Amino acid sequence: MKRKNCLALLLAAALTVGLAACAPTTGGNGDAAATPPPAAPDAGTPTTPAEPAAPSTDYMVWNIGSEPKTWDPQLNTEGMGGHVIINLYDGLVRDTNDGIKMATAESYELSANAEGVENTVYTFTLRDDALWSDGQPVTAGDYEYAWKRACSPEMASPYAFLITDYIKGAYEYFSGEGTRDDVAVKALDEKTLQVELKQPTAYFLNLVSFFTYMPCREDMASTGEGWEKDPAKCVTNGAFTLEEYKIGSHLLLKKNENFWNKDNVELAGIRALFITDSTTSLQGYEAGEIQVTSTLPGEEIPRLLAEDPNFTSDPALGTTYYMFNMDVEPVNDINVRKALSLAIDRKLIVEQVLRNGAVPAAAFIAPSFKLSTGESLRSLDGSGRVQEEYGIDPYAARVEEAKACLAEAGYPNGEGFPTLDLLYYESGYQASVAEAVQQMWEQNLGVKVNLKVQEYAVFANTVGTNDWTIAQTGWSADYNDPMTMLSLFTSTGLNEARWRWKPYAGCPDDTTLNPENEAYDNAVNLAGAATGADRDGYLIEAEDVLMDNMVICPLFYATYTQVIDYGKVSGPGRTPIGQWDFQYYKMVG
Amino acid sequence: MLKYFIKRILSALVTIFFIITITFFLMKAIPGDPFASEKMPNPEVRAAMMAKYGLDKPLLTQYVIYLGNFIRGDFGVSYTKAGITVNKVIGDGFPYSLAIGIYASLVVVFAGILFGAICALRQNKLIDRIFMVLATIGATIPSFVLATGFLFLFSKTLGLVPAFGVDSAAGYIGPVLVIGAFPLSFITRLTRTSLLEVQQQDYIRTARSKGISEFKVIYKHAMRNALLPVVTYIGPMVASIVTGSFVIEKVFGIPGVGSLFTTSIVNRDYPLIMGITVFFAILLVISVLIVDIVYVLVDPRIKLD
Repeated sequence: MKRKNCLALLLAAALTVGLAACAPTTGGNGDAAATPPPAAPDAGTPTTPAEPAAPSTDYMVWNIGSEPKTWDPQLNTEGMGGHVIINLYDGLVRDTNDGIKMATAESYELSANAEGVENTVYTFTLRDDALWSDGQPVTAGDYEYAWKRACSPEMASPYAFLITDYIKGAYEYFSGEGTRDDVAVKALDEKTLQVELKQPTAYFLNLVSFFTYMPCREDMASTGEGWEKDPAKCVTNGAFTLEEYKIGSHLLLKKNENFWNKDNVELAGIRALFITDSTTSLQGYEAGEIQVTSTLPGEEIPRLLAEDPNFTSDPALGTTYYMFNMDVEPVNDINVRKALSLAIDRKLIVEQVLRNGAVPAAAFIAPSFKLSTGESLRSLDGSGRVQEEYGIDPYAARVEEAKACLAEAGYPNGEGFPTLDLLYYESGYQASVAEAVQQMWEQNLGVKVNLKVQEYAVFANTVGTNDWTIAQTGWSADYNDPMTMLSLFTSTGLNEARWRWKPYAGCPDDTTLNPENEAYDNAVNLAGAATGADRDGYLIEAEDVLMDNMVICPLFYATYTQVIDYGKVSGPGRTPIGQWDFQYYKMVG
Repeated sequence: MLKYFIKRILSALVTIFFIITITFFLMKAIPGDPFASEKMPNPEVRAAMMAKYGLDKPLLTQYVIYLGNFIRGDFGVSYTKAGITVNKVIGDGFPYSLAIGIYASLVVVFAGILFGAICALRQNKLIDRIFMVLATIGATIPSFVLATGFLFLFSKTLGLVPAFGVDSAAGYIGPVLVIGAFPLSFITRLTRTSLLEVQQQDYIRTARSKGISEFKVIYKHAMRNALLPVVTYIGPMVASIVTGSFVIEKVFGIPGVGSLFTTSIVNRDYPLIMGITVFFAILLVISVLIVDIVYVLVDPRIKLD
């Protein structure tokens, strides 16, 4: 009895402690294996003692927000992975706040192709001192391999279109009609890379600065998916190199001593955290444990904007808008679309609902996009504010005009108007914006609105079908050119609005055709091949067609919101397309 | 004993098989797919991606392939952590959840039984009332409120613990207390009620009348019976605590496995959904089995067969 008693107690204890036996990697109490690396200040020098000498050996702590799925340059599609790639790799050119700068390429020449079409062949000359982090020279072949890799059918990279739309022979290779050798990118020698485009592309260098175009080492990448997560295989040519990756926890990036421009990189390294909870992220910053983050709770942003000089809200290359399903009633009527758009008070949404520094929008393309002259594509007033465009006043609702449009559509005072379904996805401010607009439409037009919320994975599927009426959505730039926005609504583009003038194999059930889309298609295609003032004209023309038809109802231009602890680090914010390029940062505290 | 053990293991295997099957088909029935949130995959790219992950095959074929791999111990590769196997994702995250879970379980079991016993022995006295109020608070306030409140007070205001992570011992205090709040309250109440009930029974009166010390009466005679319901509760409780908590891991920034359960479903990361569900199921089955054995040892009236 006594013995049994003891056994019982032992087993009861085993119940709590003994479960450790089920743990796949721990040796007993789980503590040893669960002990993560030392805290941030020491993380950079785990083996060598801290030296008093400047510059600081401390790693800068940056909360990425969520864990990137990948930072393989040719596989990545997400912003999170993009930030990591831009810090690990150096492209031929680099996108900076002062425009495109030469990077691993020291120069390039632009020439005509064999058919004599000017501006279609780029010949890049690489710098002699460009090295990989393991000391091997960066060659033109590394770029050739990477660009062909991005459009290879086996890779099935979601961003293959960034190569296949531009480089001659790439689409054929991707779709199986051509071979790898047909892709017109070639290393002429160790330091010379030549690429031939399908047609002149004014923004090709913007593309080349994008992560999909970063170089890649064949001996590493061919070892199988996930190579980039192993510090031994993740050989890089940028300002930093991968030191450590802890699943679900963090990345350590340390300064790449073989980077050609290492003398201008002041950070010893970066500790990149994956803290998804925005409140925790903010508390981490306020406790001084995080120096840079854009993961902030929406409801705290008005306070930060008012009180914290470390908080900034910068204009971004993106727009949030309502997209209409151009094939379904009642929004297939332009007067209905106009009425809905005019009945929205955008100033109220920005100032009362968002309160994050966003700018009310009266058009599709954000003011941060530039024309070839260097001026904003939007016409701004003397103080740089957006103005009325396409009949939309960004600062007020035009209720009377909206009512008139609705009456013209056959619904005076909203009588007989069916209940509208407004689809949005769960995230941040989406619900409050949808609720505000629901109220505006009901009050100003007498229209009943039924809000439908879906999680993002379902939302993205739904808008690919015909089963929705109005979707609250948006788009942000992949590269710094208006084409990143305009290519969205071409007949062969994503075109979730189902606004096509001819059938498209990619969306076989879009059989209701919209002839106005042809003019848009033409303008976008012409803008793709033109340069200078001609091109500016086509870009504006394309947007005019889109907005005159009210395919979308603009709400506001996006902003990048972030805190940078200027007491401890200094740096230039983000790049024009919103990426964190930390080679320009340094610790000051 | 051996026969019972084999029987239990066989039935556990059947349970796990059903869990795999049901989870597999339910998971595929949720609308949306893993690549829905990728930006602009055109139809050709999309088809190529589906083929790459074998998602273009008929559902039943996918199921058979999954079972085949599962038997070989291969849970597949996570979609949301490209190139990383599900085994590694769980293997790397579980130690964090496990460490917190073990500390919390120890605190909960020892403190819960101690507090419960104190309350029962001092029934309706001040200390009993205080513990009961605390127990009500611990059981009713949602853990995300407790967690955020804890961080606000001890990290942001007082600076005593880090704002996130478990890089230092201090980092464990918050998660352990918050994850333990509910079960601690529950065990305190359970022990109290159970001990009060046992004390009314005849054999306790007999023991007292024999003149043995009060300590012995309580410790040796009353406690053993009073703890039976507590032991029943401990098994599933430990299993649920060591598998981590979405809310707590998110708020405290801990890279454990608790948050994977929710995020894998949101991302439609099929291999990870399956891996984590099966892993949790196995843990639960094992802990219930241990409880059943402990039960027999504590209570001679219960027979194994």
